[in-house]
Amino acid sequence: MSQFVTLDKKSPDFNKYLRGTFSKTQRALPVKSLNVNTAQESVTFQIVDVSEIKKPSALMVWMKAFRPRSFLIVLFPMFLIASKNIVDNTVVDPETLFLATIGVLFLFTAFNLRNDYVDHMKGFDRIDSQLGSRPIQAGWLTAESVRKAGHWFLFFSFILAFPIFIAFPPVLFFVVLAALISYLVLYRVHFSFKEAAGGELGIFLLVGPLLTSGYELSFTGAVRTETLVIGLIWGGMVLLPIHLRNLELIVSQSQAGLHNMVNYFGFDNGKRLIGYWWIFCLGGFIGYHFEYAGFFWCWFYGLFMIFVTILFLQDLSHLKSPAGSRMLALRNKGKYLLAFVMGLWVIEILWYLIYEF
Amino acid sequence: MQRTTFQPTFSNLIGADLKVYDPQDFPAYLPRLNQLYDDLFSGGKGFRARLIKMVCDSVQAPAKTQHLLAQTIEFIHNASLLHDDLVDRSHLRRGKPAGWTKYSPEYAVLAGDYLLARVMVNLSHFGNIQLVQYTAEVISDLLEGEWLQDSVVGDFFVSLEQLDRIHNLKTASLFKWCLRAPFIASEKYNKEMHQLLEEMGTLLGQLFQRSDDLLDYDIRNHEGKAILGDLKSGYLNSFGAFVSRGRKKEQIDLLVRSQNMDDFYRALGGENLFRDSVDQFDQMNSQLIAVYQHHLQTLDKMLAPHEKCLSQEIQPLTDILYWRKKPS
Repeated sequence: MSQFVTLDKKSPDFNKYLRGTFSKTQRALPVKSLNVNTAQESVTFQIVDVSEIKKPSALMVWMKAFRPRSFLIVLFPMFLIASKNIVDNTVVDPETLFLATIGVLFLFTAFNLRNDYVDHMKGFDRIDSQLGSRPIQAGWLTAESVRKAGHWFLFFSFILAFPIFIAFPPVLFFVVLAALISYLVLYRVHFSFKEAAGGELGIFLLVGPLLTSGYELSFTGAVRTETLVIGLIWGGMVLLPIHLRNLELIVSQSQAGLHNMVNYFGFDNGKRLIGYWWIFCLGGFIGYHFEYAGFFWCWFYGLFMIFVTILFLQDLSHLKSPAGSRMLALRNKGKYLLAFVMGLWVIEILWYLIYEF
Repeated sequence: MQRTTFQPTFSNLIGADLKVYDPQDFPAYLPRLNQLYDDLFSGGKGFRARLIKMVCDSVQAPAKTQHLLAQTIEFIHNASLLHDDLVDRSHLRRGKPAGWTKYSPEYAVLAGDYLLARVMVNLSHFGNIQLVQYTAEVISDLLEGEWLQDSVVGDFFVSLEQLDRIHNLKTASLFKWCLRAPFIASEKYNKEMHQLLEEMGTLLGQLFQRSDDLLDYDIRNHEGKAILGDLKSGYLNSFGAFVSRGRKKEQIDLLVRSQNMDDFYRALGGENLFRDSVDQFDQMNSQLIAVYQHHLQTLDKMLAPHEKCLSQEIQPLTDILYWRKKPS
């Protein structure tokens, strides 16, 4: 067999090579792709014997596939909601709190793995090498094994959720809604959230209001307005790094026919969208603290946030091109901004917890 | 004066002294236009036109078609040079004053635009709408690439991946055109083959660009290109981005302030480290060459018996374009 194999989408083997199911002893590593995400897509694979691939231990490989850092996206709002309920003494069932926490982490792992699988099958990880967790791209794992592992985690998350359904039946409504949205934006290989303007809204709902409300419901039996507001703010803020990534990849994504919100608006208006989006989230953050946290937290954090937002918006407005290091730096600043919000909020919650105990 | 679409009067189209146009192609009533083009076209290697000839010969395209396609690619390429020099404020082109300095920035813009307009006029007369459409797409890719490239001038922290995206638009688009256009002009529309040629053109463009960028660091610089010219003009090329990977801001600042290769070696940590980086860069590009050779084998199977010579003709292109070996 040749060292390289080129297949186009029409080839019956195309998906087998991408999934890694064409051979038990070899891996097909994509080295060049053409017309990604179109009917004319072709991929050149380098065929490598599994024995030739240098890889870390199985534990490390799977840890990398799980992308532990991304767990902050769900751990943070869960920490906020759980802590607030502990402080307010509204936790009805600690056992379902534990089950819901583990269940959400399993569900998020399933989403991460599915996302990697879809990125690989659609070629998004070939447009942006920062996408995906890399074990598939490096040949450490086949896409098929990642897909199957994702299904197992999904299955276990439902098993864990079962006692919660019995204790608090309305949780089922949130789970069904989340399942529907995640099917629409994550599970369909042919139309994921990266392909349609507004698809990001699915992510906003999943990690925002649906997560916070469903999570609180699972151990208190009720959903407070405050929790919904936290979900709305967090869901919005989480989209900042996604928008910035889309801004950097606006050329290649547009050529690949991906229509997310940023490339729908174009580079200049996309920048405005990101700026207004963040200002809206900032308004929500300050408004939330004004309503629920009191004078000190509202003004102290509000001023802090306004200051860092001004710095971020200045960099955003000075950005002249999706190419170049300024774009990469801005992408990082977006991540730091989100981390800054998390840091501030965690300090506030820790203050409440210390005060309470 | 009547302007014709193209004149099959140049028997020696592809030779040492490449001449792809005739004064009749351009209106004599426009002052200095022909003089500007004479300056512009003289001294070029005409590599792209040669590539067109190779492909045209294999598909047995008539001489008229060969001429039209060679003219088209040289017009597009030279229009981009006229605009590029002005955008980059480069004072020299092929060792002579750049068009915008000798004539005027306005003339340089208009002369470049005029070449692109002539391309469209000539191709529309030829009558193959697919060729017109494809050429228009290539020109728009080229311009998108130039637009993006201008936005990274002065940016010494740009990544190799970002530069590759720009080069794919700016440089590779013309190589793709050279490989595909003769087939389209001959009404050979096999989709799979065009896809393969597109991929091969992408690889050739990338290899050519990376090799050209190495010249800046005096690697295989048989043509005597100015050393560190890109860097001094504020452009970190692909090799610059490759050696800057993972380095701290202060280290990159030191690299880009280099005035000569000795400065550069020192900033990098010694000549040996520089040579190692070149070896790693070559190794990375050897992978692209291997993919190209793989595509060549596939292409050979797709070609009709009388076209098979094409795969032999374009086989050494990676040696010529990347390793800068003289064609036999």
